[in-house]
Amino acid sequence: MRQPDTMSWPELSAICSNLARTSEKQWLTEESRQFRRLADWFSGHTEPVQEASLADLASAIQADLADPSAQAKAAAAKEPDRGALRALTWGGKTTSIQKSVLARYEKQQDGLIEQTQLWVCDICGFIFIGDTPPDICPICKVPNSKLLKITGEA
Amino acid sequence: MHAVRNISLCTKDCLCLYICPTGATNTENGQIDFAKCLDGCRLCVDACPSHAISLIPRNFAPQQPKTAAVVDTLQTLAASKVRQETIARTISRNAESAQQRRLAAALARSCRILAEDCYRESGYMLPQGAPTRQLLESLLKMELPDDFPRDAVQVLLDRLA
Repeated sequence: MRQPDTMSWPELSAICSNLARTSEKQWLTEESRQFRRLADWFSGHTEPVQEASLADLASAIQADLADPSAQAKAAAAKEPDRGALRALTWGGKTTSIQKSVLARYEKQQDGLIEQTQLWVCDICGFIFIGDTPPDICPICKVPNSKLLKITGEA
Repeated sequence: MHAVRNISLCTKDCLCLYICPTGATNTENGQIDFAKCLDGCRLCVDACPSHAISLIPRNFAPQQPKTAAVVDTLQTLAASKVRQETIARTISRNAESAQQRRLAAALARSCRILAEDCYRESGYMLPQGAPTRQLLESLLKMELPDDFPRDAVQVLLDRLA
């Protein structure tokens, strides 16, 4: 396991926002609030990247689908580690969706979403483009109350 | 095991109020008073017609042991998703159109959720777990700016002890 003092601030933010969620699942309301404060501090203090383009993002996403995913799946299958395999299965599908959303945007530009809505599954990260989200998330099968509409900036 | 009420399912049938031997279900904030709730009693769980009450363990078993290879590969993927999130957030902030701003925001959110899931499965599932404790202890030792909320770390260490 990597030592926390070698991790970047956005990495620490993601660990803490994850712990805010897992606290919430155990009804640990105060713990969840404090982990959220830590996550917000780390992400609020994260420097934006110098050069950021949708093309950079697309190639980084594409890169994940190759070696890193395959290595993680092989390591998890060896045990087998059911939890890790579950996360990697959802993660692989969601990463493919991210790739396809970027490819569609590259072709259609703003027209892709100009007249419609964007939704992100709060459980598995699935992205849906359309006026009404499906009843259940096609990747993780959660009811659509967990598909959250994206309105503003990140 | 103590009872919790899912407020979004509760239809105010109030059978839990009358059946509870200790009055734990009768609170102002809508949640059950965990301190008064009897371990494993479950009378309110079975009485509730809308299935809004369930039992949760007071102590969770440790997370399944993770091999070094699983942890390393998951955390490599998580770090990659976090980098993508930062790129997407930057694009969203500097976006040329409202549509691009929204699209990048959706991708940033999606990447964050994937990163969280990888970290969860790499050992950070339980707030009470050893990796979480080590994380909190190292946060106190790290040299961070003055406005870092050290008090939040201390509260967590105390409450999760």
